[in-house]
Parts: sequence; C-alpha cells; structure tokens
Amino acid sequence: MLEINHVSVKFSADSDVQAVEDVSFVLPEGSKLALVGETGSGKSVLLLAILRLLPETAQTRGDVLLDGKSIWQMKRKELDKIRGAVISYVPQGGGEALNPLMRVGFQVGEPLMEHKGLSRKEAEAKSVSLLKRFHLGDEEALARAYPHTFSGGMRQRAMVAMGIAADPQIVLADEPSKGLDEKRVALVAETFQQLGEKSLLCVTHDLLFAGKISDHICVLYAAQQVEYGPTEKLMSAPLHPYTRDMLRAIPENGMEVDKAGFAPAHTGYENFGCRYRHRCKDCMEVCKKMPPLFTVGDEKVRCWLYADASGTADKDL
Amino acid sequence: MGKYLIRRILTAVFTIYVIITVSFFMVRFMPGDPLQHLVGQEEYYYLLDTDPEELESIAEKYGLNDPLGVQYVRYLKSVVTLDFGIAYSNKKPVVENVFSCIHWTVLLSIPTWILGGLLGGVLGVLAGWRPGKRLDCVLTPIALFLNTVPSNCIGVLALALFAYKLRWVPIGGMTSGIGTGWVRTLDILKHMALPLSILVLFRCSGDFMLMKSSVSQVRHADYTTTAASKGLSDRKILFRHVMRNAMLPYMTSMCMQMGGLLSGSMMIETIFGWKGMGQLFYNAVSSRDFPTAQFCFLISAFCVVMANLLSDILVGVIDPRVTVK
Repeated sequence: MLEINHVSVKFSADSDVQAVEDVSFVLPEGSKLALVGETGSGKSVLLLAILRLLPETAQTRGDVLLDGKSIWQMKRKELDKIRGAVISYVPQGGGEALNPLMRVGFQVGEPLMEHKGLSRKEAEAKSVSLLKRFHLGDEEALARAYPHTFSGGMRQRAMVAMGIAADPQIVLADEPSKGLDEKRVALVAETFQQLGEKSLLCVTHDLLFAGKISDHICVLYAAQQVEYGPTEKLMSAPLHPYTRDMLRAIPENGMEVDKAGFAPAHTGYENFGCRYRHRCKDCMEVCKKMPPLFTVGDEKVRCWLYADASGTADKDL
Repeated sequence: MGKYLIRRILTAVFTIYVIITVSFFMVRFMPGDPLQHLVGQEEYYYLLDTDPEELESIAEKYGLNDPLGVQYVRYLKSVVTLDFGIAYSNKKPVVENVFSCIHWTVLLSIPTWILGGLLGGVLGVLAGWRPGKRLDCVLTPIALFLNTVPSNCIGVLALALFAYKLRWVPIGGMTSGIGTGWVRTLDILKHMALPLSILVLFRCSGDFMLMKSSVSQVRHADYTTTAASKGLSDRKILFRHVMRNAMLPYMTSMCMQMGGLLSGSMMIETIFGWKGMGQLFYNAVSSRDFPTAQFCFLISAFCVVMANLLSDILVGVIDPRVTVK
C-alpha cells in the first residue's frame, strides 16, 4: 500500500514555483489510480517525487509511505532496493527516456540484473520474453536494436515491459498515452489492463484513457487536488465544476471548450481563493476564499458547492 | 557500419587530394613571379637587370616554364614520393628540416594532450556530476580565467616570474647542450617544465569546461532519471549511463587535438624559443620559404583530416544513431 501524505513540491527560482500543494491519497494493494490534470497541474512532478527522482532544486514537504514505512526518510541504499523492485517508474515515451547509446534489450532487462541477480546475458534473454508480452513483433531483433529505431508506441510498450521486469508491486506511469494515435492508446490501455495484481498510479491528461485503466481518479488543478472518487462515479456524475468542464471538452461529449483562460501561474497563490474561480460558471462570493477538501460519500471535492452536503471538511488545510 | 566506414575513408582521401590541389594552385595563382620568392626580391630585380639568362636558367631548373598541367603532375608525384624539395632558407631538403624539429614538438604536444586530456576530463566529470560542490566552485572560476586569457600572455608572465625573477627554470631553448644520457634528459626536462606546464594548464582547462558542461547536461537527461528509477547506485548511473553519452563531445575534441599534435603551438614555441614545428612554420612563412611552409601546411592538413576520420569512426562505434543515414 502506498500512502501519499500531504505532499507539496516547490521549486525555487527567481520566484517560488509551487508545483504540487498538499496532495494526499492512498493507493491500496492492487488498485489502479489515475492522476488527471492539464499541463502544468503538477501531476508528473508528484509522480517523480514519490521515488525521490526530482532534481535537487525541488523542495518537498509531506511524506510518502510504503506499507507504513517512509520512502522519503530512507537511506539511499535502502531506496535503491525499492526503486524498480517494489515500485517501478515508467517514463514518458516521447523524449529520450531510454538511453540512446544502449540496446533496448539491455535497458529492459537492467532491473533484473539489479534486483534479481541475473547476469547481463540472462537479463537480456529475459527481456525478449518481457517484450513478447506486449506484442511488438520480432522481439529478438528489437531487443538487439537501439531506441532510435523504435516508434513512439513501441518505445512506450518497451518501457512498460521495463517497468514490470523485476515484478514490482506498484507501477508509476507518466503520461503513457501522450502523443499516440487512438489505436496505439488502446494498445497501451490493454497493456495496463494486463497488470493484474499490481497497483498502478498513472498520470494522464486523457480522461477517456483514465476511464479505461483505473478504478479511482484523482483530478489535479493548479497544483491542488480538486476531486477524488471512483472512476465510474466521477466519469458519469462529476462533482467539481472543473471535472465537469473537462468531461464536456471530450470530443464524444460535444467538445465544448471554454477558451476563456488557463490555470493561474504557479506563483502568488496566497489569497487567490479557489484557483478555478475565474474559469468557473458557478463562481460565488465565497469562492474568493480557498475551499477545503469536502468529503461527499466516498468522494472528495474541493468546491464550496458541497459545503452543506459534506459531513466533514478536511481541516488540515 | 561497413558502408559508413568506407564512405568516411573515401571522403578523407578526397579531402586530402583537394587540399593538395588547392594549395598547389593557390601558390601558382599568387600575384608576382614565383622566381621572386625563389631567389628573393632584391636578387630577382638585380638579376633581371644584369643577367636575365641566369634567371631563365633558374626558372628552367625549377620547371617553372612548363605548362601548368605538367607542373601539377610533377607536384603530385613529389607529394606521393615525399620529395618536397629544398628549403629556400638553408638549402637543405625540406623533409630533413622538418624531421629535425618534429620530435621537439612532439615532446611537448603528446604529454600536453595526454596529461591535459586526462586531468581535464576526470576533473570535469567530477565537477559536472556534483555541481555547486567544493570542487566545482574552486575549479570552474580558474578554468574560466584560463580559457579567457590568451596563452601567450600567461606565457610571458610566467617566463618573467619563474625564469627571470626566481630563476627556477632556464629562460628558453630546449637544452643547454651539456652532457649525455641522464644529464641531458634532466636538462631537457628542466627546459620543458615551464612551457609544458602552461600548455597542460590551458589544455586541461578547456577539456575541463567541455566535460563539465557535457556531464551536467546528461545528468538531467530523461534517461538518467530512468536509470535512477531502476534502483541503480550513483556510481552505476554515472559510469554506465551518463559517461557513455557525455564522452561523445569530449572524444571528438580529443581526436581534433590529436590532429594538432604535429603542428605545435606557435605562440608558446616562439615565446620559449622552442625549435619545434610551430617555430619552423612561423619562420618559413615570414621568410617566404615556400617549400617548407607548404610542407608544414600539408602535414597539419593531413593530420587534421586523419583526426577527423578517427573521430568519425570512434563516434560511429559508440553512437548507433550516427551510422544510419
């Protein structure tokens, strides 16, 4: 079980950039959670923060617990035993997430050398069977090839294979559907549905994709959690105005996009009030004050509309 | 890879041919009678007035009256047979002159290349891998300073301080011409100390900056994060994933420097009275000793082309993206 406890990430440049602010959720064993949000909402930073993969310039607060033990307090040696073995990270496929100078087979099998004591040769042989699970076609040749010969979709699937190589309990995936056409997205979704018992924490900006692969969805907006709930409920009856607007923007739902504005910049958040205020159709006077995270049934939502409906407000904020 | 290799080699051979040809025609198309350069300006006008037949016979002797095509073929032949003629300056064969200088240049340039490259490379990796730490904070300003101040300036200052004022090392030259065996070796080392130190310092600072920027760039690459996410230790991340990528620009630069091993540093050799290739070239150009200058030019061009070829091959071996078209 993975617990994210009040995690905040700040980058100090000329002015402070608050990338993630007080996000909390729990990822029980075997569950699949999608982190949804637009570009710059802080979802990828949050994912990297879990395994302490952020650059040194990032200032973090809060804690991340793995089965009750803090990952953030661990010594590096201990952390190295978790990384890739218990919790693995599947990077975005678009960039140079695979080393351009090393064969794909070696990179896919590397976690096995690190955590299962396999020799280089054994690990490379195993990587072929790992690749085969994701139907890349002629896996023997592809394992010997270099990343630049792969298409985006192939790279993405190879990286999922790399992520599950050492049989981890939890897979963290960063935008696995980014930049892929619909058919490839469906393929990647299928790949994730094969994870079975493993827990999945998947960052995406694609709500439809999130709907296919997750049982819970957490919506982030401007560094904050604005809604959390079971996937089906959230997709059919969203609570937060932002989630509603986002669902309306999906092509299948009429692609109704309000181009009025973007999320506020990551600075000067204090005294801003609700960060969705200036884009929200239901904006009220009270929205000049930051709403807490209200609990409505098994869902959580950060919006004053639910002040009465909620039993308890998260008073931590 | 095979195809890539053949293409590179053919390109190199062709480049050398073009350089030889261009250098031939450039000299021929220069304004003025080549005889002027051959016998010297004063002598030329003197002979032109008093003994034009003598001038004619000299032209005949050097084959300057033959058609350009014939001269060109003869020139190519002389290049292939390494017969570069007689130096105007001391009437000795050019090749002999060059061979009396080249070992002095190599004595400075190879240690500079190896020491500067190793020291700069290793320190650069350490500083780039841990930016903002002590090593980086101390070395980077020094390297920046050395990179911006010309080497001849530091050379003269060092000469004034260590050789003139403190008298730690001789003021110039390669030997005092005393002794044999160990005594002579020690004597040469003493003469080498200052020019070599300055050359190493400068080379080291350049390689340091290159390696540092290369490592610190690769350190933030996506694949470095990926490597860390697999649970690799810092050492494995650095040596397995980062170094291989960071080495590429450094290796290219080392190969290019190899191309300059035989040409010598004109500035430092002149300041320290070091009779190497740099000085030979400098003197040949200033005294219009064309056969010597042309040969020096050819050697340096040949070395640069070869170094280019070597770096292309090495990069092709390491980086699979290069060999595909």
